[in-house]
Amino acid sequence: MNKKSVFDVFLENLSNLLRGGGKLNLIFASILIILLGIVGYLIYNESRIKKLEDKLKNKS
Amino acid sequence: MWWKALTVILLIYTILAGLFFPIPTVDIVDESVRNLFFHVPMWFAMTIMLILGAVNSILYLAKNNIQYDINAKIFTQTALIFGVLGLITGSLWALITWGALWTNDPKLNGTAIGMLLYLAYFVLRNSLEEDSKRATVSAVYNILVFPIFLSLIYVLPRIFASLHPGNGGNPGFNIYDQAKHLRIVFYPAVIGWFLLGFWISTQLIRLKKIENQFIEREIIDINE
Repeated sequence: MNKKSVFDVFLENLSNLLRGGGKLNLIFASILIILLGIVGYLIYNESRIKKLEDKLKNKS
Repeated sequence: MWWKALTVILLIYTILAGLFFPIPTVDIVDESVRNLFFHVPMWFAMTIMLILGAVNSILYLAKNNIQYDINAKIFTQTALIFGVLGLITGSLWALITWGALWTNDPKLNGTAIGMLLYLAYFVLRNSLEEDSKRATVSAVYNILVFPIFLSLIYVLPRIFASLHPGNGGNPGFNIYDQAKHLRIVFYPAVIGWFLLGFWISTQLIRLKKIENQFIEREIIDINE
């Protein structure tokens, strides 16, 4: 029997999750949402800080 | 800028690979071994940021530049956030494998003491009003508390009996990781979580600088 590759296992686990994976589904969704929220806020902040820095530069 | 994009890529990889890639079979730990990609890298990120905080405290004492004090405070602050996240993920892992959220483990107790020592750093900072005095006293405290913290969480658990893998004579996960399934996710996760902490810290430092510059400008405007 052929040994499953990393990618095969990845797809298998992912399809299990998408078919209604119970607890893992909930954990996965919460981690992803929290992380996306943090990264999204950091990206938003990046442009806000840049604007403020430019404002200070222009004033001086 | 490239490292910020790398942070996002590494963290998405950590979550996807950490939850879906194959893992070695370890008795009792089972699927919870995936927490290795979240709990341990968060602690590593915390330690690296505490190092950055201690280095900035040394630089403040050497160069007497208040910016180093601000950097030290912010790096320590972010490190503590990662410490709390490490505690939460660790407690959940402990509940699954050891049956309790908190056990009488030297690493857990050492962590609790260490975190309290760092909380005292912020209490100390807030108790001093004069800027240079606060910076000097807290820099000295930060430099002193850093080796104590390291010995509490990295040295003592290796000397005494500990439930943690790789401590107190227990084998680490590396002996189960023959096909390197854990390693290919673990190392990127360490870099990703650290970069996230570094990103948060640099933004806070930049914001503080802007705030200080605005205050300076206002003082100049008022005097004029």
